[in-house]
Amino acid sequence: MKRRNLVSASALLVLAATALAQDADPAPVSNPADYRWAIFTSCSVAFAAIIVYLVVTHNRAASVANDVAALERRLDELEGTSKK
Amino acid sequence: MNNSTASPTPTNGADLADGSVPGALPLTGGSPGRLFLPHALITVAALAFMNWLIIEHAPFGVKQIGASYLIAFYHVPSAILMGVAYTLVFAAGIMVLLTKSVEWDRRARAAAAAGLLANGIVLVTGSVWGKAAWNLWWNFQDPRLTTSAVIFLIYLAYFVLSRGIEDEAKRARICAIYGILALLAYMPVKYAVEWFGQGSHPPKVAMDGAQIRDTLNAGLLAFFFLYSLLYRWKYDLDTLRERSDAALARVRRLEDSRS
Repeated sequence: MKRRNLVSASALLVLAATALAQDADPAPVSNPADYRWAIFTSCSVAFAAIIVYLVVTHNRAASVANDVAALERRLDELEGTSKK
Repeated sequence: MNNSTASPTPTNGADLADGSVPGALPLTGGSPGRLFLPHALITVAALAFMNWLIIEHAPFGVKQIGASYLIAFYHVPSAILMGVAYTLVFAAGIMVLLTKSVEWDRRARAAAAAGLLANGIVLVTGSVWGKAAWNLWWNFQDPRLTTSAVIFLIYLAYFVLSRGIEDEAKRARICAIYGILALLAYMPVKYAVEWFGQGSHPPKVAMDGAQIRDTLNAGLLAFFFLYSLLYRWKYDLDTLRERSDAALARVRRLEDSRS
């Protein structure tokens, strides 16, 4: 949980620093077509990060689900025994 | 997540009326998240295709706002799907009240998560677009910007509320009512320009032309895959959490009966 907070805080800091840097140095863009690649790169990285996070955590949940299923089966057995 | 993880005694959509803890919920309601990875890969492909269209297909700049309009291909589909997701929260809330099923509560939470991500993307892309078009990161005088930020906080509070209530039945009921009322709070976002005046945000940006329409449609499809992926993720993880909570409750009952 703490690590997650740290990552979120770092991401916010990076965003804030980018915004500040933008304000401090409003250098004209020499080639406006560069915007396209800037959009492509930044959005691809952001979406890739979101999708990788979702897939990794979902896979981890799948393995936890196996453990929970095993626990449920064992509980079924034990509850059966205790009722007898 | 595979089908073998499903409980032998599924009690999905457990009735809230009896106040019982569901003994064993299957990981997903009838359709286990086996196709999650293919869904993720399709999402990546759709987003890549959308980006390719933005770079190679869409015209570079429109009359009103120049090249910065390109960000609209992220902003507009996200805004549309945000409205869809919040409407789903509303519909799922009504279903919770009608059926008294926790299954719909999970669906409402999953839709709220998707809506919140869409809302976040709308705010970030809107802010970047605002800087490029109006030289302003944010304008609190603008009704649409302000209402979009307020609705983000309202749905963020939905999760705080949801986490704050332990009793499953009570949580489902209260969150359902909150989700229904929250859609009323969403209406000012949709009709902000009509109700409160234009501000900085135009009522409609002229984005005509077949190439722009193609790219917008591709964006809508790509973001649909992205938000539905998040919906499934949230739904599966919430189901798993409730299953493990139920198993833990059974362990405690067993310990109590033996002591």
